[in-house]
Amino acid sequence: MTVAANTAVSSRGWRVAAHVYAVVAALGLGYFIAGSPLQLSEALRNMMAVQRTGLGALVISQFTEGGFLRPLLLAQIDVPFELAQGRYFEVFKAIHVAQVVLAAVLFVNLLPVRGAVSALAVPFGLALLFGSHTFAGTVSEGFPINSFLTIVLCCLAAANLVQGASSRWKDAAAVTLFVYAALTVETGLLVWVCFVAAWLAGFRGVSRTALVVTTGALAGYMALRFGPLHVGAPALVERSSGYGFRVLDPPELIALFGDNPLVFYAYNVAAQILTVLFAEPRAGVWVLVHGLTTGEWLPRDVLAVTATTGATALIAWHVGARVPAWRRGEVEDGDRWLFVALAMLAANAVISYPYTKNVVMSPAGAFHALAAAIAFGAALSRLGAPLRLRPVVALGVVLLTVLSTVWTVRLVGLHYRLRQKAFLTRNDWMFVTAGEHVDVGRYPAAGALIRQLREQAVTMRVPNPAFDAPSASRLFEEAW
Amino acid sequence: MIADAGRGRPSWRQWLAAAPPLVAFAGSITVAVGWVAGAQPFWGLQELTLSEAVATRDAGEVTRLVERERIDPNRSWPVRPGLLDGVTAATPLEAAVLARRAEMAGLLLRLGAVVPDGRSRTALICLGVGASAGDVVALLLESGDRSDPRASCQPSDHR
Repeated sequence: MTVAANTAVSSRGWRVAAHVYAVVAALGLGYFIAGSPLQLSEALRNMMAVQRTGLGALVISQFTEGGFLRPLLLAQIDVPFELAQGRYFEVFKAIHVAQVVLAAVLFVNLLPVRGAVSALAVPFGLALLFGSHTFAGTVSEGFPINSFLTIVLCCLAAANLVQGASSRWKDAAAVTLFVYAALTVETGLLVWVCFVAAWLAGFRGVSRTALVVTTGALAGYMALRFGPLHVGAPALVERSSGYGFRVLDPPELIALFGDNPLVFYAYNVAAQILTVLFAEPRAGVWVLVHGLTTGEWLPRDVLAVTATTGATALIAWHVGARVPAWRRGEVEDGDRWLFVALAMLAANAVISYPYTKNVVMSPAGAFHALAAAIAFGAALSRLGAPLRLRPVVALGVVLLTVLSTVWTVRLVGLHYRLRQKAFLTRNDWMFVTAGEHVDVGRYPAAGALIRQLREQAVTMRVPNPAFDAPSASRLFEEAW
Repeated sequence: MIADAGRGRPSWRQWLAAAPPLVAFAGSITVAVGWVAGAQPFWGLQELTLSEAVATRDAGEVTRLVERERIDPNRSWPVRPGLLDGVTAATPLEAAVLARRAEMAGLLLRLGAVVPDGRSRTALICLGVGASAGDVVALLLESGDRSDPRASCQPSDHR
C-alpha cells in the first residue's frame, strides 16, 4: 500500500471514530432526555390540538394564525401522534433522541477530520454544540417535538449539502429542506441564509439553479406572509422578553416601546448576537452584570461567560492567523465555515428581533461551535509544531486546556439540569386534572390522553435532586 | 501547513488540551452502554418515605406512593436527618406544614389525607403557625369544622 493510500485509510478511520464518538455522546444526552416524562404545557396543548383536528384542516388553519406562519409545525406532531397508536411517550422521546444523534453526526461531518490531531477537536466541538446555553432549550423541552432542534438539524443538513460537488439529488433536497424548514418556524428561513452564505464563501454542493429556486421560494413566502395571508410579524403583545436586568411582560413592553418599537428590536438583535459570542446577556437579561453589581453573582454565570468568550476569542485568533493565507488566495473549507457562521449569526439575530430567547439562537450557536472547533483544531496543530518560543506554547496549552475544561463543565451541567427538569416535569403532572385543560364531556379522547400521560408520569420514577450536591446548582446553568 | 499537521500523532501537549471532554465521554459511554443494558447509570433513585417525599417537594413520588404503593397518607413515617430540622418522624401533612409547602398539603388532601379532628387538628394548625406556614395554615383552616384555633396556640408550638 502506498503512503497516500495509508494516509487515506487512516483519515477514514479517524472520521469513522469521530462519528462513533458523536453517536455515543449524543446517546449519553439522549438517556437523560428519555428519563423525563413528556412535557405538560406546550406538549399537551399541541397533542390535544392534533388529536382534535385532522391533518389537512390543521395545516390550513395554521396559514391564518396572526404573527406566526408555521403550518408544518403541528403537522410534524400529527403524523407520529397518529402512528404512535397510544405509545406517545416512546415515539416522541425516540424522535427527540434521534434528532440529537442526527445533529451530532451532521455537525461532526462538517469538521475537517484528517487524522488523530484534527480528530481531537471533535470532543471539544461537541462540548460546545451541546454545552451552549443556546442549545440547552432544544433538549430540555419537547413540544413534544422540539421545533428549534428541528431547525438546528435543517441548518446542519443544509451545511452538509453544500459540501462537495453539486448533483440533482442535492438540489432537490436543498429546495425541499428550505420549504420544510421555512414552514415549520420562522428561523427555518436560516436554511436559505446557509445556502447563500455557503455559495458566497465558495461551496458549490448546491447548484446556482437550486439557489435561484430557493430564493424564489423565499420571495413567495414573504409575499404570501405579508400579502394575502396577512400573517405579518409578531407584535409586542405576543411574548415577554428580557430587557436590561429583567424580563418585561407585554404590557410593560408596550408602555416602554409602544411608540417606538425599533429601539426594542435593535436591542434584541444586538442582545442575540452578544449572547452567542459572550453568553451575556442571556435571553436579553444581563445576568452576570446584574450579579456583579449586586454582589449576588453565581459561578455558573462566570463560567458561561468565560467559556463562550474564550471560544469567541479562539475564533478571532484563528481568523487573525489565517489572514496572511487568505491574502495569498489560500482558502480552505474551514475558512469558508467561518464566513458562513458569521452570516448565520447576523441573520439569526435579525430574524429573532421580536423577542429574545436563548434557544431561538440555537442555529447560530451550532455554527459558533463549528467555527470554534475548527479554530481549536488549528490551535492544536500549532501546539504540535516545533516552535521555538516555549513560553508561548506553554501558554497555549494552558489556555486551551482551561477552555476545554470550562466547556466540559457546561456539558456535564446540561445533563445535571436535564435531571432536574425531569423532576419538575413529573411533578407538574401530579397537579393536573383532565377537566382543567379541556372539556372532557365534549372531548373524552382528550381527557383519556391527559389521564394516560399523567399515569405514565406517576409510574416513571425520577431521581430527586434534593439529594444531589446542593452546590451543583450554583455551578451548572439552568437549561430552561 | 496546519491542515497537514492535523494528520500526525498527537503530542502530550495536544492530548492535554483535548483531554477534558474525553474524560466526560467516559461518562457518556457508561450511560449509553448502561442504557442499552437496562441499567440506571447516574440515575440513582432514593427510596423515600411518604413524609420525606413531601418534605423534598417530590410530588411525583408522593402520588406514586399513595396511588400505586397504597401507602397510608395519614400515619407517621420516618424522616431522615436534615430534611425537617431535627424531626425524625412526621405524618405527611405535618411534613407539608414544616416544609411550608401548601401545594403539597393540597396534593395530599386530594390523594386522601385527612385533617384530624379536635385537638389533633389544633395541634397541626398550631404547628403551622409556629413554622410560619401561612399558606398551609389557610388551607387547613378550611378543613374539618372550619374553626380557627390559632388563638389557643402556645409558644411551645413554635419550632
